Amino acid sequence: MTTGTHRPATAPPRPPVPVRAVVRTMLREQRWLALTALLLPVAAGAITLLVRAFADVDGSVWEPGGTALRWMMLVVGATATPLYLPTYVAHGVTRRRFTVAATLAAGGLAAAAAAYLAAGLLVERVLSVAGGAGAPRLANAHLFDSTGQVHLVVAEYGLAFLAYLVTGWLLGSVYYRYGGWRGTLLVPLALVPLAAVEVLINAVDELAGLLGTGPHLAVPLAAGLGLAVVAAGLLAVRVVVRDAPVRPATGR
Amino acid sequence: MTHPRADRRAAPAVEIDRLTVRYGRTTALDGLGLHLDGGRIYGLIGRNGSGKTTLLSVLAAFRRPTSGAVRVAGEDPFENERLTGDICLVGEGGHVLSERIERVFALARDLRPRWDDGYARRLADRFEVPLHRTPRQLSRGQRSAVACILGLASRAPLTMFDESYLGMDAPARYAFYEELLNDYTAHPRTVIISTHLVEEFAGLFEEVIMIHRGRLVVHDGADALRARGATLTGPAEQVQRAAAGLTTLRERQLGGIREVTVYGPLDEQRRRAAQAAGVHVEPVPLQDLFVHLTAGDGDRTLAEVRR
Amino acid sequence: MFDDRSPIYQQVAERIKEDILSGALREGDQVMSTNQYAAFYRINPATAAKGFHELVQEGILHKRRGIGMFVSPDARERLLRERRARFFADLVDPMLAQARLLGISTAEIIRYIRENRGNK
Repeated sequence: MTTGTHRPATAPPRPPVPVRAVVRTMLREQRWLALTALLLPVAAGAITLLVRAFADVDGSVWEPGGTALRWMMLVVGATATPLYLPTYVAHGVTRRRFTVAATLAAGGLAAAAAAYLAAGLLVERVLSVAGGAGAPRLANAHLFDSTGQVHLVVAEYGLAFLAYLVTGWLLGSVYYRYGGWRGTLLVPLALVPLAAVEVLINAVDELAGLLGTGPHLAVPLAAGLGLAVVAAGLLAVRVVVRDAPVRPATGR
Repeated sequence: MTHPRADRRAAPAVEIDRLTVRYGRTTALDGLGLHLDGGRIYGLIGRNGSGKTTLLSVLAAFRRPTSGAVRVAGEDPFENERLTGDICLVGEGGHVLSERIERVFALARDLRPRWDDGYARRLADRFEVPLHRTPRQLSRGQRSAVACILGLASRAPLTMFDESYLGMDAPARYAFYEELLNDYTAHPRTVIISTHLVEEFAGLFEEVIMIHRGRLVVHDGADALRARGATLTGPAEQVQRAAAGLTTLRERQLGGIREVTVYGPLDEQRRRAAQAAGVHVEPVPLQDLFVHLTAGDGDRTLAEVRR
Repeated sequence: MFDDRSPIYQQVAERIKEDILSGALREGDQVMSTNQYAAFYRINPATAAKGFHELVQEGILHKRRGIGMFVSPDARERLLRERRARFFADLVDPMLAQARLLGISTAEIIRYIRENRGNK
């Protein structure tokens, strides 16, 4: 050795990046959702004032926020694989770790959005009752009878948001992996988590009737079935993504 | 001369065994075999569509091979938690999200175990990449520079540049070569640079790998290859005699003058004999050697060249 | 810069020899480290190291442990001797061969050199 061209390496082996760091980066990428969270009460307040000025309405204005957030979750889920998988793999994250982290991030996101929505319903109810109008009427079927059952409200919306996130994720993954033609053929399958959870939420009374038991058993059963379908959806994502190739980046 | 090489993890060796990758009916890599020692700078040379990007994609765990295997530091990189953080492949644009460059760096900081943020910022300064802009707002050259910065500042023990520098102008490319050499010296690692611009890059390479149509043409020291080819020009008969027994890469004839490009060891005795017989002997630049070795079909020649 | 027509390590060694012959590098001078040299000329450090190693083998450079590489005390003298020895073989012999081919006599060449020596 004449020169010391190659100094002995000083770099020790490094442990892989922990999953929580990956989850953190994923949630950070979705921070734009905070803007939606801020805009939702502004919109709800404006609509309430506007409608009340012209008509006598007793329906909840906050409830449609649940629908808006569902679709938003679908979009967020759909971007996960096509937009983020290549970037994460290119940054040395395995598909396995990506899938685990994205699942945790989805759970966190769904829980946070559900808590936020439940809080909104509660505030709306308190304001409405204080104003002498009574509890606002809800338009859709729900697992809960009253917005005061916070645990059921959070559970229902959490499950719904998670189902939309996972459905979006599965749709995005299927198109990413199999392309336009085969991807489209797989759409009906990919929609199963979303459809199943909607049916379960809407048909909980029928389920109770079928079982002949009443809501105290039907509600946890519906929630459990919903979770099982979501878990199956996640498993499907894992299978689709497991050895999905990543195309190298080009200049375009 | 011996090079005490960096340790196995910090500058891994790469083993490629009968590697085949097919996309539908297209064969991108066709039973490629290679051994690369750790701690060197390799030039991966091939024409467009020769399989360079596919080879690097397999090494970077971007995809699974159809058959065959690759080993980095003795292990299969695909879905290998302990390994993938230490392997970095950047293309021309780099895999970046459409967010400000400082956020692009922040993601790399969180995900790359050996990322050097200060170094990334110094490089951004040198390549004049504005940190508050998004990739879309950058020029092609600046986007190339972002890719190169990701490749350098990740300090990955196996770092691969897949024509990352294509969008950069000459001063920026020269700056890249300097930064690469300086950082490689300070932090020895295994580097593979793919290119078809042989002339400008060749000085950087310790070893050169040429592939053509998914197969290995030659793998040798860059300097050894520079001494390998020769063009013989002169009276047809004398040239024919001088070239006898050597692998011919190209022949041309104009009247009685024949020009033959040969590949292989042209020893001193043979050279002098040829010159004495009135044959003009010229070295073949690496770029020309590449052109000859990968011209058109050339499969017969390749079979002879391959050792 | 270096070209791609011959091994770069040889070109590195050749260039340093030229610098010593021209006096740009003096005997006893410290030369750049191979890493500095490689970065400066944008060539592979191992290639530069090989060029320097050749010069150490030939005794043109010598190493001082922990300090660096230096031009040997007799380097210029050795290079001159070597070049002088090669001068006739490398330059004069081919010239004479060419002259013979063109039918120029040795006497003519000598006369030409005598007459033009002062002008150059």
